[in-house]
Amino acid sequence: MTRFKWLLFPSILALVFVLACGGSPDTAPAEPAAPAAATAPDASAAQATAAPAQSTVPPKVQATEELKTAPTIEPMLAPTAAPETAGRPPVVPPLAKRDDAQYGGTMKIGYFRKAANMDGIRSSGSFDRIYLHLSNEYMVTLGRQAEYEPQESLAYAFEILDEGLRVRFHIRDGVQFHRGAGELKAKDVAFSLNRVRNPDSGEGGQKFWAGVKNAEAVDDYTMDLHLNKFDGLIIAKHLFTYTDYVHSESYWNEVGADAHVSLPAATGPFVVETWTPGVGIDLVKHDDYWKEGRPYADAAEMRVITETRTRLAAIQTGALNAAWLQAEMVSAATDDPDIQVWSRAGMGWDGWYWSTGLPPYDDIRIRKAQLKAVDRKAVNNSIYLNTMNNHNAHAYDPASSPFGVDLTDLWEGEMKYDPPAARALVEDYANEKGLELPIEVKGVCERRPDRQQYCEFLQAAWAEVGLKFDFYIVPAAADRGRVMLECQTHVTQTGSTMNPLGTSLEALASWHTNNYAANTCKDQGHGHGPEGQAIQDALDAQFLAAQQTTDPKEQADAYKAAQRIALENAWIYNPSMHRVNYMGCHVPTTGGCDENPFWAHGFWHSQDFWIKQ
Amino acid sequence: MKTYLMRRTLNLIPTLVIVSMIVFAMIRILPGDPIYTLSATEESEGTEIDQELYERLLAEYDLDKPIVVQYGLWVWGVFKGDWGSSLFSRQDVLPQIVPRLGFTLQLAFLSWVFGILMGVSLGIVSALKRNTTPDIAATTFAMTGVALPNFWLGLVLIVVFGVWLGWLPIFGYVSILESPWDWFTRMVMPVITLGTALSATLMRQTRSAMLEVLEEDYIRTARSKGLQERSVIGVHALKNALLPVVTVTSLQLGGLIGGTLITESVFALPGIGKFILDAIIEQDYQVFQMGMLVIVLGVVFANFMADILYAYLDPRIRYD
Repeated sequence: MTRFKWLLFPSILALVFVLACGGSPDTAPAEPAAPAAATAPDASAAQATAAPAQSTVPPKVQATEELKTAPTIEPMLAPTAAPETAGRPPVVPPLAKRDDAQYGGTMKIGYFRKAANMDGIRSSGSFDRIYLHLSNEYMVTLGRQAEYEPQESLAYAFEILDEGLRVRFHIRDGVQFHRGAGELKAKDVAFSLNRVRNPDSGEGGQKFWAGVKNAEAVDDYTMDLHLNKFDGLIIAKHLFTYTDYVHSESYWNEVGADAHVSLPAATGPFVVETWTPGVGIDLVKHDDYWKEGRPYADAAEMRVITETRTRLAAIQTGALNAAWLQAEMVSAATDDPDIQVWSRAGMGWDGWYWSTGLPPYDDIRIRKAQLKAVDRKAVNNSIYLNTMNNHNAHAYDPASSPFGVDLTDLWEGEMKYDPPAARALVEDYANEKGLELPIEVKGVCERRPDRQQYCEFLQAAWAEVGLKFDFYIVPAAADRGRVMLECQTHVTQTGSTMNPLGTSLEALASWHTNNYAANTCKDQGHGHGPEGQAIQDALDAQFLAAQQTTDPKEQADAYKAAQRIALENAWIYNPSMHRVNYMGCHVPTTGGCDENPFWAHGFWHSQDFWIKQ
Repeated sequence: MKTYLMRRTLNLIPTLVIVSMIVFAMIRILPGDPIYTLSATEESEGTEIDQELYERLLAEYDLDKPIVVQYGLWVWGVFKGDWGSSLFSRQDVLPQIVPRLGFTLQLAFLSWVFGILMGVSLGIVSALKRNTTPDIAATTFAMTGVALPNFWLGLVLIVVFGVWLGWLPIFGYVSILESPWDWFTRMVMPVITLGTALSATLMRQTRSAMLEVLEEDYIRTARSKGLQERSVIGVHALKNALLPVVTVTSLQLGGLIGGTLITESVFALPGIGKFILDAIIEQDYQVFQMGMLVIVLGVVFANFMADILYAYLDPRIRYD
């Protein structure tokens, strides 16, 4: 054995080295790259032109109401009693803090995937919101009922002026940025909104905000958003768009875009202290947060725990205060008396869309056949373990939203699951074209277990009606669109968050603009044809009607009408399933579990929960 | 020995060049385009991109240049100490890799030590108590250890020791410098998870080597000249039986460095395996390339050390 004694010292040395250099990636500070120059986008834009909705309506689209012409709108919700500022609407105070809340401690939250960034720029999907809303805020915010909530918004009121070509935001005073970057002023908001259209900032917002001409600070607390053309979704876009968080102009210019991605100066309840991609985020309380008495916790930790059983075990034992629950976790969490399970019905949808310019999808019979071939209840049971909401609305669940509309007549009518009818449509098409069954169709799916299972389900369902569906898998959601643009496939499977007001309306529009009636093949005229344009016009008319009234009932009616129009003309995509997202709250250690955390944008409204002492 | 060392060192150069090419090409062969993802307009589900941003990002990351130029720039950057930055987080790659690599080395090393201690001990006992209850028990352990998938064993440990008994924390990592006790409790389950399969293999290897050596004439001679059994086993038998075991353990250390991914995922640990997996999914070029290169270097170095150690233990190898 003496021969091995020489190994002893280097072994001990190696052990000491490994232990020492192991460090703690959990606590290693994020080290941003060198700052990059920041430039404001070109303010010049096309001349402003009013673009009222067109009156061309396809046969199935309901006639739209005559649009109101009142140019000026009062603040959307009646303000509560508060002193009126000269020339400005009365300030709406934030929601009151809870009397039973306790202060201190660290809120620990478990999530299933890594964050893309800390400031919303270059976000890779809607699921990033759960991280981003710990520290970032919008001007206008969604409330508990999925509508504009002035009490929770940086802009406590807005007005639609100049026939929809100017939106005026009234910003609250006394809001402080993180990192000592000073008070939020209208110029910061204008900077933030102008930045999203600037490629130099790294944001891909140019097309999304194409209707925006410029944002302009009128005074310290008033900002005007000028539009090139009417955009019926302009407020909705602000409500749910992760690239238009409000940040400090001076801080952004000081550190640059690259550094800001890791350590932004925003206004939210927590300040990002350390971001370790793929591991987690450490945040500390924003001491100057504008909502009195919030946040309750001194700090927050977001941890990426990809393994679902581990995440479930962590919340069962109280190692986490809250955790995102996936389908396979829901049953066990619901059975656990220590866990309060919350969900939001219709937060997303799973379906597909196809390129209407490529055969056989240029024929509505095939599109109808594919929709009729899929049993939505079976999708729910087999893939999502009965955790999805197979409700009969289109965009909003009537049970969870004032904008919800029961569309059972459509679901149980022409859109009903009916394989024999679907096969008859395919056979009819094949006979007419002289084709043999099965007809081959190609598709693309995202690399994610539930998405891949969904594609396999579609493959089986469509095979029964005479369609042979072959698909391949791409790593990112966005790649599906790339493949479609390159005319490589006919159909893609997708999902989208949709229930809250902003997203849903945005989704209605984007389905139409990009997918709803679109030929996604770029070389064959990407865009929608006359039929699609008529549907879009009808939808726009409803959105305009909703914006040009202060009556909540009229607004809700307009949104409901938009959903019906969309579903009646849904033969260009399939709104097959409404996904439900779940979160668990560990009751013995966490206060506030009695309130659904899914309200507003953030999936988890961290400032409303506290650590039980 | 010096010549042998030099020859082995020179052999590393073509290995590393080829490996770097494979690593560089591998991530680009995968379907998908990360710049497209970065340029996708929000909420469009990727059907629309901002073309100006797309072209700007291509240029920013030199992805608009010919592939050979891209490779050259990458290699040159590595030599200069510029490891690039993540396409998504924009954070420099080097400061992200160092702590994660440190953790993974730590986990791999501790699992390796655990595996050796468990495997060699059980192997010796098993050989000495051949066909008795301890031998059967140790053999059963070995078979089970090899058969159990890492992720399953890890989850069982979590449920038993984390949820049911509540003895050990379920996830995460705390530095030993921060809190030695927390560090210990958080490393126990991952080390057992990763080290069990190794210990099972080593147990079988040690047992069979020991049984072979115990039949040798020089062992009988040692016993016949009156040496104590402890000396016979410890000095004469074990020393010779360990030669193949050392080879196996050295090679497995390299494998462990690259094989921590599953354990890191199960226990939500901040290691380099999961870091690389995320980079593959996102197609984060620089992160993947540098992460993989570091892992490959680790494996190559471990094999190199095994060769050196083997040459030291068996002088015949040096003269081949």
